[in-house]
Amino acid sequence: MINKHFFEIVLVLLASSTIFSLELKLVLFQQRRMNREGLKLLNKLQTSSIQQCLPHRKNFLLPQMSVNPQQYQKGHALAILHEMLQQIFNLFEANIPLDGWEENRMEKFLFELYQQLEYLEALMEVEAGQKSGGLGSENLRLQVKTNFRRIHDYLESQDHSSCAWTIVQVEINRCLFFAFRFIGKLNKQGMDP
Amino acid sequence: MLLSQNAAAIRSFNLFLMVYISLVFGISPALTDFSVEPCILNMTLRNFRSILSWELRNHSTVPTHYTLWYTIMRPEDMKIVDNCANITRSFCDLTDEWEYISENYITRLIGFRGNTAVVYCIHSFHLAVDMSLEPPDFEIVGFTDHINVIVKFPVILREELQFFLSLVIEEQSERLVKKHKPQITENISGDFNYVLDQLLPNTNYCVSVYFEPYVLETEKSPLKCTFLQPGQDSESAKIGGIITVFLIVAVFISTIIILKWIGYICLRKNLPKVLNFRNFSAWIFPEQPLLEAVDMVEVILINRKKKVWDYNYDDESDDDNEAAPRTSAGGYTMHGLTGRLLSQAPASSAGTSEESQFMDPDSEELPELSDADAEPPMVLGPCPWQSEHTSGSYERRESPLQDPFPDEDSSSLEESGDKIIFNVDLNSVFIRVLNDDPEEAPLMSLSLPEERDNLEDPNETESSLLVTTGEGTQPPYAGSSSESLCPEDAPSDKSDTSELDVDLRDGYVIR
Repeated sequence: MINKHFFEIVLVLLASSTIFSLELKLVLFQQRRMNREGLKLLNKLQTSSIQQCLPHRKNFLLPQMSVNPQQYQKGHALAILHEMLQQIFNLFEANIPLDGWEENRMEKFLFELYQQLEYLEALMEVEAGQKSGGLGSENLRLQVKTNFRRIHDYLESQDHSSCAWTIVQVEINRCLFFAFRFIGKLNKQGMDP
Repeated sequence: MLLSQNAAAIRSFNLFLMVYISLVFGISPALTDFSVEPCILNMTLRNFRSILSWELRNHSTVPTHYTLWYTIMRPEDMKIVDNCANITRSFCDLTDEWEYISENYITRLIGFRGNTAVVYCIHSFHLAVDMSLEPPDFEIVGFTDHINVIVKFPVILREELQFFLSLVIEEQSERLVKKHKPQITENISGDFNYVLDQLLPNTNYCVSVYFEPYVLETEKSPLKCTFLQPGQDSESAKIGGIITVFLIVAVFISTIIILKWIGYICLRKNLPKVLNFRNFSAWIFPEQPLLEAVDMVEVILINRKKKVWDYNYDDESDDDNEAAPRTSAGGYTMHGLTGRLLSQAPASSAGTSEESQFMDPDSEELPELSDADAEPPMVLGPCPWQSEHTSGSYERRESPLQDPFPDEDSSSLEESGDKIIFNVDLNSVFIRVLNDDPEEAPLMSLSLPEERDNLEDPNETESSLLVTTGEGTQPPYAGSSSESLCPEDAPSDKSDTSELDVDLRDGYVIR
């Protein structure tokens, strides 16, 4: 079962990004600010739930925190981010074991996630006009899809248990922080559109 | 008896019940609810280091030492923290262990008393959410209208913290609070300087530095206050003003010196001599040159008989004596003097060792002088029309010399002996012809021979005038007995002598 705070965390993280703009610097600024505002509103994940699910931990091989966007072209980096958020959107849209409380939060979360995807798509279109993404972007997207396929398979194998969702929550939080850090590095490196 | 047995039964039942409940609910020390955790764990960012600290809720059994383990939400075993194993302190530095801010870390703390575990604590931390941010160390330096804030950062700041931390410098005065959020860059290290400007002098300001809370409310640093003294900067401003004035004065003086040195200003008043117009009147109206000292000279005509071979082989014809001029074969008698332009240089004053050479104008036809015995001395005097020729230059005379010896008898020039050459200022020389017969005193004039070549022939008969000094500057006309020898016309190089009384054509004085 998905922890109710998970959606809040995700919602706040996504809401912190607010509006994607064509300017990556503005997107990064908003994401960082909103991310902090969102985290302020969240309680930490319950330690008991985490402790109970230690035997159910799973490594989904998602992008690590140490990934440096310098090793990617700008178009490829945007493709990775877009695919990651898209997979998260698909994950929660297809599997939402919600009660009344969590349903509202989930809808809001998905709405913010959808907006961020649109902004990233706009940035990708601008980048596609200058450079051709080509085969490199498709391969990176395929890797991200493969990683999130594992999440889907894990949930199915765990019968969408609470611990499984707890493990997934932790992994999604890790991905969101990775995305925010990735955009921050892109901005610092001056890889604006 | 029965009551004691019942009490024992009740106690046993209660104990059994507790064990049963414990077994049913699966309560175990490893899954103890956090709310009944015997210890309280806190994660703090202190001086940019992740510090885990703890304290016991129940102090009934105090452990003697602690050991810390941790793991993440991935299939990994608990890891022991090497620097936090069997420690007696109640905190542990996990900066090097917990690298990622966004990671979930599950910690296990066990307190031992001897070899017996007396405390068992488990806690999960999400650093971005659960780690409290302690304010960094900083210093402030107050000036007149600004404050310099120095925030101490570590030499190497982790990249995670650069992304995670947001510095806030809060400026508080009596009326308002202002927040400054300087950007933390990747290259920041050591002391970070930030200036709070546009402050009011003579006002008390307090500064607080802290990290903007991410999730939890962060702790603000204690306020550091300073009073902006108005005089602090004025002293430095005074010193700066004095230095500025000094530099300006030095530049001005050096500029003046340079301009004076190059002559742009304070020009010299001493003009060159050529530009000295003080004696302008004298320059326009030059002073009359001093009159030349002129002495009166008396020119004594000495007729030298020139030996003329008259195709007579008689001995008498070889008489070299200076006899009276004889009449030549042609019937002409040469008398007088012939003038010759000695040089262009101005002649010295007459009468002072002057010599003039008078040559026979005609070398071919030997001039015949008049009688040498009756040679009258001549005094040359300045001619009136010659007043303008005061330079004293020896000028050629066109007018021929008049034969002082108008005798028909030709006279022959004696051969010249020693020649006496002297310069005579004809303008001031009288030629006075001393003659017994004043009527027959010829007019003496200087002649300019047409043939100048003859003048230079020393062998020719020549007549020389011995000029004797007389009085000073005398008028040209001495007396009746003496007549000035003045050419009737202006001297010219070679003018016709037709105007002359005496025809000096061919150099002969024709009476």
